[in-house]
Amino acid sequence: MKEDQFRTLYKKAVDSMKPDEDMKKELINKLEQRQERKRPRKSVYIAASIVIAAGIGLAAPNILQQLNSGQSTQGQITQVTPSPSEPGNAGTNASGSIVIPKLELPDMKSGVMADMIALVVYKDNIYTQSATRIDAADAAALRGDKLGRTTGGIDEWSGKDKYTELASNIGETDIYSVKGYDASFLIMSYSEINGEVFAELYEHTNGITINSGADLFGKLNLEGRITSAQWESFDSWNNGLQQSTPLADGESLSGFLTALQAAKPLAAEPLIEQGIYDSEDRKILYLQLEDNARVELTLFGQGLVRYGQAPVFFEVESVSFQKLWDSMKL
Amino acid sequence: MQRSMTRPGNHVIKSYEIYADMLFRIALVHLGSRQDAEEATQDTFIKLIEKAPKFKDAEHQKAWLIRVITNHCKTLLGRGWRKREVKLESAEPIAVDSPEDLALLQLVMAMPMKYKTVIHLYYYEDYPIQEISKILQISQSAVKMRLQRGRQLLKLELEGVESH
Repeated sequence: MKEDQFRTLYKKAVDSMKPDEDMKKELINKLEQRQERKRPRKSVYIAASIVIAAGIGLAAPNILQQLNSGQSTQGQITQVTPSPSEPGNAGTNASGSIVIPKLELPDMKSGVMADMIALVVYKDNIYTQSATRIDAADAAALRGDKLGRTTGGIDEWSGKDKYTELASNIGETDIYSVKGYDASFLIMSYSEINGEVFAELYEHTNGITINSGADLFGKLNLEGRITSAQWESFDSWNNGLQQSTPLADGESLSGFLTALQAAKPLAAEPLIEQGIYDSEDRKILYLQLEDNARVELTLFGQGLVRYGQAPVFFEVESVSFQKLWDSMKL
Repeated sequence: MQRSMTRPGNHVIKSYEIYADMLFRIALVHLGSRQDAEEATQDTFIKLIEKAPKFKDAEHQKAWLIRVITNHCKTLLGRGWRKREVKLESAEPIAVDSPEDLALLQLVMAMPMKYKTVIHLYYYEDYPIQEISKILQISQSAVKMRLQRGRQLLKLELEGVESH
């Protein structure tokens, strides 16, 4: 059967399936019952079907205050004065570093629903889909040594026994090291199907201690390798419009990147719980590297930066951050 | 910007009118049972109230609802309280217009979950690969591969049906 024919017939078949009228009545009943016995809930964030047991430090009070009171003043980030995390808090050591434990699998008995993201198990570590991207056309040039071939087998309800070497939730594909990067941080899936290249980068950002931005961004070898930079508004990013704009001010980017290496890490969980993602005061920065990899950073109006799935935000020195932020205007 | 509701009958009920059929169909394709599909649909709207996300626009909300119900179906299928094998000959048969429609639905329902999710979003909801990638939070490569394998399965199965 041809694709178009299938589409037509499948739509017709599915269109004939309709819920009963009672479904709406039952829903309204359920909603009313729930309101009567409403009780406080605690939201749980899970990624990759694994609990990211992020180091739970105390985010800077001023930032939390901003989050509680709404957005920062338009066009002007608020100066933050982070207080050291309290020693003894899980995942936070006395010096205020953020300890990101190895990813743990969810307790399958907990009934917690997980969001699934692409992952690969390599050398007993879980690599998740990277916030650094490559186009298929550039993948072959970056492909290093073959490390093995993934098996499928991991899904939302996989237990620990499924997390064997090179197990994945991306199907069967070859895994390679990436030229110019340490395989303990970055690996690549690469396959050719009917002449078309499919390639993705996966990164290992757990089981590490972060004292400053350099502990994470240093792995990307950014220094001297950025060929261009673009930024995208939250509105464009949120709606998949891909309307990115070249970043004209090289000086502000340079200062920002220097400050990013020295940036102070803050545990993600308190900030997420306080609603940092509820605000749309965000911009996306894309750094094109000389090897054609593209690094994506999310900048938050509170003066924070986040990269990928790592459960940590980075507080960048405010003058450098503000200069770059102000240069990102349409 | 949509806000959470304080009483049933507010924006969630309005959302129900718009999206209930779509979500029910997604759940039915995944779960194969009207009762399970209706419960999953109701649970999805309850989540809409509990989480009260702020949506930029209708497409944003639609994508969120699809992701929630898809993940919910996966969870239900993985809990072990029901057979993973979809059986249309259950006590509550799916009412469709013709035996041909039923045969086609059975083919899709019999596929592994990750394939039929992508197949449904691509061929019924008309989402492009890039959007499916965002909705399901998987890579575009994974979407393409699942689509390709789904097509392979359907082609083989469909040829078998046509020969009958």
